Amino acid sequence: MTDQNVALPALVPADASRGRQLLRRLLRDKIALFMLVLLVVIVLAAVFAPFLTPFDPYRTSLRSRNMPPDLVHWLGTDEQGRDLVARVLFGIRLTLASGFTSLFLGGFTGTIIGVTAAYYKRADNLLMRAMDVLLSFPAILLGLAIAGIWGPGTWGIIFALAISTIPPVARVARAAALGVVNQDYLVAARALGLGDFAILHRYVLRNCATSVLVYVTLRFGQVILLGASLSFLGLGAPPPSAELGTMVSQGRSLLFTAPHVALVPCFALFLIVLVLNVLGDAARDIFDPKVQQ
Amino acid sequence: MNMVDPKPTAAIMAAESAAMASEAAPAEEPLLRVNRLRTSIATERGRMTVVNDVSFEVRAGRTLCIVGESGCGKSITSLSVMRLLPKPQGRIDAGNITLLGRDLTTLTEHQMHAVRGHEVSIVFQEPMTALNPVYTIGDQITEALLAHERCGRHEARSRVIAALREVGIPDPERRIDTFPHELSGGMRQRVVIAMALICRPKLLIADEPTTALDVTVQAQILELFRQLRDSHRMGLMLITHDLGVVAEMADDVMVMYAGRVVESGPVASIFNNPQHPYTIGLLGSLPKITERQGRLSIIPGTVPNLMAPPSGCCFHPRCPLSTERCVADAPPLAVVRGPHRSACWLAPLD
Amino acid sequence: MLRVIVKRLMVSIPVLLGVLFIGFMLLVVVPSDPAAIIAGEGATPEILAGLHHDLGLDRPVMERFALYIARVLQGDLGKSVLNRAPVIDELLRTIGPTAELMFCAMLVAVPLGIGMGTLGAVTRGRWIDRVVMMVSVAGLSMPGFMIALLGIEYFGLQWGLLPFQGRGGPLWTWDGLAHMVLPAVSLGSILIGPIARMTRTSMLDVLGLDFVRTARAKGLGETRVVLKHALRTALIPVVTLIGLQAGYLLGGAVVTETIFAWPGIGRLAVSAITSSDFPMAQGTILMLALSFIIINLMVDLIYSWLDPRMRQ
Repeated sequence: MTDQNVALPALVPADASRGRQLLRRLLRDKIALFMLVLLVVIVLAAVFAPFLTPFDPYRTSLRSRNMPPDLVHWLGTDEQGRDLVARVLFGIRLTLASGFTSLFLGGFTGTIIGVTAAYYKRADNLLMRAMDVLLSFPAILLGLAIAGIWGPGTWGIIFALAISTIPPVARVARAAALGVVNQDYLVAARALGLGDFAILHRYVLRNCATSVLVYVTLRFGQVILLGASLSFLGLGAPPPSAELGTMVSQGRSLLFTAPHVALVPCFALFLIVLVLNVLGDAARDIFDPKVQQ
Repeated sequence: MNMVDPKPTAAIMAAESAAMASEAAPAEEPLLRVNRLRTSIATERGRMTVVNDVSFEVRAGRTLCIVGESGCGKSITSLSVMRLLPKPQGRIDAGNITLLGRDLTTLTEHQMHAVRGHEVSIVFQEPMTALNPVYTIGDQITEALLAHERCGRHEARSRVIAALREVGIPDPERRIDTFPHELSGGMRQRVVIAMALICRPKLLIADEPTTALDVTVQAQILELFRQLRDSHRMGLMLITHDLGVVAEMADDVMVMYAGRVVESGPVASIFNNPQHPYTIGLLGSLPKITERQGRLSIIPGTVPNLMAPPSGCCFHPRCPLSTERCVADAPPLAVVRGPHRSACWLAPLD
Repeated sequence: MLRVIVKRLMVSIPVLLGVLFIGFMLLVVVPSDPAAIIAGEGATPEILAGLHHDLGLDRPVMERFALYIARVLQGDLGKSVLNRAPVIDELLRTIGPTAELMFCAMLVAVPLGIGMGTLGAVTRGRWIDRVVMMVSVAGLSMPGFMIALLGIEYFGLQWGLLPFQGRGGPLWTWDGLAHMVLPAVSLGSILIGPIARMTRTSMLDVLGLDFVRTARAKGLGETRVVLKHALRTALIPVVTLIGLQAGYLLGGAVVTETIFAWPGIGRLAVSAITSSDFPMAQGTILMLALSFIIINLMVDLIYSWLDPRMRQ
């Protein structure tokens, strides 16, 4: 009889608290742990970007244009002679910040809508139908439309990404809230005279928080990719800005002479999103296996 | 220790004579002989032996019922015979499973393909999910036929229709092209049975085949099993926790508890003169066959945790007759009288 | 089958209205005055007012929206501000290449993704599975333009193997096929990761179901059990995913077309928006939204073909 033995995990002591169990599981997942360290490094590098590099991401230098990576410019320079380490660090900063902002805006609005739909039965149908309609708008179309109305810019992209985050978050939050709304202790709380707002705040929102946070973590990578695509298409901040997508788009014409100008920001994006995706998966596995991507 | 009752009741006499008749008449080799089977399952917290030292036989045209509470190892025993244990967690650690003279535990996976559905078939508990929702029932039965026999399209179709008719499906010419979701639970179970029997297996394993069905449908399906067993001289291994079903169907009974056989023997002997406190408990909680509440919960306590089985006899924590010896040593499955065996230090109980 | 289509179309009506509204907004709320663009610099207020009247810009908003819908329903989407060409003609000219590109991308992504996911599920926990999972997470994390740029850099520029500018003609010609390779692979590659992951998850679920055990109990070989019984059921959520990712595919098409100068609707949309050609922009957005709805309609049809329970 063939025996493909599954690796037997170490016995978990019965008294281990939930938090310690989670930590244990995270520690067991070596890849996720490595990615977590990498994420911390990336975030720190982005926050302290101005102190980490002697170069100004916007200072052009006609003498050192399109230089391949060397000891001075570790990742080389672009077509205007700007240092790519500095530009990529600032780009990561902008990317993370705009991704986070749009997720925050979309996640917040989506949670409110989802919880409202779950709590107030009369609003449910209307709100969720509206979410279905919104869900049918591909994010890229929203981005194109918003850029069309407002003109290109970083805020347009953030706005488009936030809007496209609302419907799925609303669904996740509604599902999580519905699990709580009909519980006996909520009926009891209401009988005690607790107001709607207090109930929502104390019981319902707290119960949704895990699901929404896990979903938002899972979505972070996708949001960054979408944002990069939009700015690559020229719908983001105009050229001199250090937006990773815009940088790739600028470097595209130099592929033959200086491929690193386009490829360096490409790989930076890839790395960040990879880290976020692996961590998102780990977060889902640990906290909330039910949330699907 | 009690003396054997000098005046056995009429029922036991009948059972014994029946048992003797069956012992005497066919000296032929049993269809299936399971010898000291031990099966384990890997879990999150370690390997767990779920079937331990189990031996039994099934003869042509006879029915063996395996009885016990959920989690006692009945289903794992049947899956072991089919070599369909969950992969990669399940494993047969020891023992032999001899079907028609061949030890199944030594066959390769590829050789098993020719055995499954051909020499031995199995019918599972849940008819609602046992069929693939995306293919017609005709497709699925034909596939079972063509897996083992060479035949043309038209012949296959007419044989499938005949098989559907045999299991009592009305209008089989039309039903053959329906999808499973268009049929009721009872009809689906009939389809599963037709599929299991299309290649005329020598042995049929039925794992709680009627638990999920209505009482009337249940009786019909059992009747169908009995007819098919008699008309094809098929061996039937019926797994159930419903003693009503046992009374209806069994020739022989094997009672399992915590992965071990605690008592086995001819049905009349076991029903009239149970020789293990667990069996007595089960019989005490026998529901009337018309009330379908098969759960046997009257015995106080629950099935032991197989990760940390109790010392001595597994049943001692729940046994009203438990002695110090029961706590210290596990009793072997020993002959009480003729083919009737019991794994209890106090047997014979009279 | 017909009912599936009708139901999907009913659901699509609010979406279409929403898209029309956005298209309308593009023409109304835009920061720049279309009349000013048409008239050019130095136009007198009288000329501008006349143009406003001609373009219907002086009427109430709701009336204009109704008129706009009526016009769109007749296929009149206005004229390009830049070259006065009717928008509808441009759309019809560019939709073909876009459809062709997306089709070829699916031809790359679907078999590869499903194959990888199935392989991963069957070899669960072993190294093949690990490799499959790593490749799919990597694929999921790549920006849509990354494979395109790498392809251009190596296959196009360095090794000179494949063309990467524009469309080379119909697919059945050698040139047409060669021009399609890089765009289709780049666009397809963004879908391989999601499809592979979903197939793997769904396959693992299905492999644990009762009917798979029944299939094994019949004596079928493992290959047949996996490919005939498990895969078809496992594909149902994968098809749903492809429908959900259709927006992603459209977005990818916009990017891919821009990079490879593919004469499709996505490139037209981007150039219209960046050059403030609002009638053209609203036309392309309407058309892209329409193709999104059509893709989802097709997904529903495939769905009901895969799952007979859906046909009623």
